This record gives sequence, C-alpha cells and structure tokens, in this order.
Amino acid sequence: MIDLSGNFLVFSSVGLSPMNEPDWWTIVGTLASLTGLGLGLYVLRVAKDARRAAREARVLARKRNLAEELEQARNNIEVIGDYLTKKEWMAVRIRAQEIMTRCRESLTRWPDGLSENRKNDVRNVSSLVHSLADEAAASDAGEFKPAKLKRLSNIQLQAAELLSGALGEARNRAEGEGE
Amino acid sequence: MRLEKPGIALKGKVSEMLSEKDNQFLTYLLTSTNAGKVPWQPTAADDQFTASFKGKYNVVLGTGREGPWLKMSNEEDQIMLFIPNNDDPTDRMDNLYNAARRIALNVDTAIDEIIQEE
Repeated sequence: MIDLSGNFLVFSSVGLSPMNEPDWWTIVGTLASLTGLGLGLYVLRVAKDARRAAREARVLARKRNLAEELEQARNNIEVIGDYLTKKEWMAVRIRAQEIMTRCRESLTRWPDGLSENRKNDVRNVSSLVHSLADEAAASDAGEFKPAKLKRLSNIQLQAAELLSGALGEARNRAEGEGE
Repeated sequence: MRLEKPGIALKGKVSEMLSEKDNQFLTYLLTSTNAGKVPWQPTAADDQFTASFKGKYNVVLGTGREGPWLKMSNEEDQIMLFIPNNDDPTDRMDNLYNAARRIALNVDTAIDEIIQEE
C-alpha cells in the first residue's frame, strides 16, 4: 500500500485519485457523514427541547392541580354555607372534613406552591373549618340562636375569602409559568 | 445525683412544666401579639382564636374553666404542643389570650368607632 511517490494517501483523503480524478464515493460518503452529523445534532436539540417542554408541562400541571385542589375546597366551603342555612349539621361536618383534608394535602403536596402568607391563610382555613365542624357536632346544635348562626356564617365567609386569596395566587403562578 | 427538671425562674416562681423553648415561644407570641404582628382570627367557637405561622404551624388559643390554653399543630393537624394555663406560673397566658381576642374581634376599631360617634 505504500506508494512510491507517497501521494496516493494524500490524494485519496481529499477525494482525488492518484490520477487527479475525484473519488466520488469518498465525496458522497463525506457529505453523507456531515449530513448525518448535522441531522444528529438537530435531533439531539429537538429531543432536548421536547424534554424541557415536557418538564415545564409537568410543573405547570402540578400548579394547575394545586389550583384545582384549592378551587374544590372553596366550592365545598360555599356548600357549607348552604348547609348552615339549612341547619344540616351532619353535612356540615362531612364537608368540613373534606376541606380540611384538601387544605392539608395542598400544603404537603405543593410545599412551594404558595407564598408563606397564603399558606398561613390555608392553615387558618383548616382551623376555621375545624371549629365549624366542632360546633356542628355540639349536642345543642339544633337549638343555636340566630346570633350564633350568624357567627358561624361569618366564619364560613371568612374561610371562603381566605381560600379565594390562596386560589388567586395559585392561579397567577400557574398562568405566569404557562406563558 | 439529682436530675434537674426543665424549668425557668419567672417572677420568683419556677415552672416545672414548661421547657425553656416553651417559655421562649410564649414570650415570643405575647411580644409579637402586643406589637400587632400576629393576625389572630376568631373561630366558630365562642372563646377560641387562631393564627398560623411559617405556612405550616397553627396555633389556637382558647379558654376554659381553668383559664386560657394554647394548642399548636402542624401541617398534618397533629397536636405538637399543648400548654394549659396551669403550666405557666406567670400571667402570660391570660395576657396573650386577651391580646389575641382584642385583635381577632377588632376591639380597638370598635372603640375608635364609638369614640368618633361620640
């Protein structure tokens, strides 16, 4: 394989035969390799973008779930308002339990989903609803006077307001990260 | 060898019930509440008020036949700390309860309202 002039290898490396004719197969092969490399880099970039998009979508989905969880809790608080008006104490207790569970899950599943103040609000909601459930379990619940009923209603409204604030923040964060 | 119980000298009395941390916590709550930094809220119960801290902890102040009590719970609603009035030889629990009630029920605002009307 050693050429006497030593030119063969040099020529073949640039696609020229020893007779100064282009080695088309080598040129095609080189071009194909370059194309393959470019395609590979492109695919790698697309895959990276897709992975980043998927990760962002997962984060966004988690935020949306927090908002949905808080929204469901707020809906339940509104339902409690109806039950208080109707003096359906057992229903108040059941809904209160659901709200407390949702509040607890919201804080433990999404510890970074809300600011500290809003998390405090969610904890307060849980405490307020707990107190509503306790009152609903009282043996004299059926004989509550109007002033007492009004106070329970005020607590329910207060809890709904606090939860609305937290829900607003959760939605804002979800939308902010979705843009 | 005699092991010392956790205690702290307060106004000439020694509490053998409250730990040093509990005492610090009570003092912190009282100081912060008096400074208007703790947003106490009324609950559905006649004599209970609640506030939350650090997005994780909830404190409920209530009162019963033996005076005020304090309950702290975590995110899982597990009771972490319960301090009955008897455990504190000072009047901090009374002061804390009264200050919390004053904030929760907007007593100062009500007084301002009455005075302005007069």
